[in-house]
Amino acid sequence: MKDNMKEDRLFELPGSGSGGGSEDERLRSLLQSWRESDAPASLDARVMASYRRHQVHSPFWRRVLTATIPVPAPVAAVFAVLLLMSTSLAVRALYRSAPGAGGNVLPQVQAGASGLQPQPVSGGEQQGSPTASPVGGIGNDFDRTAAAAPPGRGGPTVAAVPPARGLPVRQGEGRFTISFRSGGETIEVVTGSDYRLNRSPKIFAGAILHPSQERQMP
Amino acid sequence: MGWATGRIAGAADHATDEDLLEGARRGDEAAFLELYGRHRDATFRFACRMLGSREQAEDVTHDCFLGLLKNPGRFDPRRASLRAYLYGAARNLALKRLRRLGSERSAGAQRGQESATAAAAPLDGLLAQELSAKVRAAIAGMPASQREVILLYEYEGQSLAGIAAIIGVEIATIKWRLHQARGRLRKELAPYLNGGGGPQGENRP
Repeated sequence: MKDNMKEDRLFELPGSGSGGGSEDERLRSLLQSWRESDAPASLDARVMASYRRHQVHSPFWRRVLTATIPVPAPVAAVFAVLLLMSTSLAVRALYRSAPGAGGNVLPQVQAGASGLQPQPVSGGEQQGSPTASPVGGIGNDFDRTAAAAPPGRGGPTVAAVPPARGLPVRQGEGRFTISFRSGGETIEVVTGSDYRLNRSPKIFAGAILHPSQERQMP
Repeated sequence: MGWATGRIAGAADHATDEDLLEGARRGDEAAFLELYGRHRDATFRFACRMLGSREQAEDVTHDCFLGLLKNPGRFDPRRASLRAYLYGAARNLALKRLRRLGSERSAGAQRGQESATAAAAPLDGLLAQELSAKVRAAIAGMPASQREVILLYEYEGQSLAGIAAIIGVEIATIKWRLHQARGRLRKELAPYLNGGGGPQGENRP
């Protein structure tokens, strides 16, 4: 007899208690009248063919090329972000170290170098004229020439200062923003190396005077 | 049976299902044959009774064994026996097919068509055949949730706990479904129950 017949008593199946044991037995006997034949031989042939097909070894190179590695989506996302970040950092580092990279020179500086004449100033003698003060990163190597503003009215003016004399430009040197203080007002001077315009390894500087800071230089 | 002639007897007969499965995955055809031979008929019969179609039961049985090889990680011998795993796989595949057919009760209709074409039998066999058809129709007319429980319990000899593991529900739920299934069968087969029943048991696993 089946093992699970004991469970009818062990678990006290609801269906087995009400009708009495004989009715359950009759039902079981009746159910067993449904005979189902075994699996056909065609199934054996089919399963074995599939098994053999599954077991056929493909060439090593094909297995390598078609191999897949299941990776959880969060891990894949983190990996993609890290890859993007490292790529952008590498591109930035390359951009900075490239000699003569266009990004090293500000447009304002280019305009000042090519279009405006340098106007030497005697810094500090005129009232209200800006005075130069070195800022970290340049220090004493910088030619302490005050930024000069050309005559004019209206919007921002770009002025150029004379090229620094004999100041070498190191490769990879970036651009700096130097602040000159004058009587509570601030003038920003942008410096940079220019390899493209004259291929001269000298530093030049341009001054951007904000409208509120604009003044007539003598 | 055709495949049995090629079956390699010996050490494989005493090997556990897990050993045979491991061998089959490594390409040992004899191990696969032994494993297949152990569980083939039970899986096929269960699928056949669930679906009411021998053709579909063949497909399901085929997919069960192939899935065992393709996705070895799905079978965990610590959780259930290989037989229980195969019942579970056959049940899932059968339910999927029944859903695709649009009705869980289509099994009864299919089976009815098949039995109508059965060859004529001697007089004493006719009664058994009629009884078998009535039982078959009564079980096929059940909801799938009751049908699978009555099939696994009455025909495949699975315990309540075993059925609960295969289906993935609590034992109390299995007991309730079994109770409902029995009540339904008693009602539908009442004339045959009162008349003394049909041929005595077969097919015991």
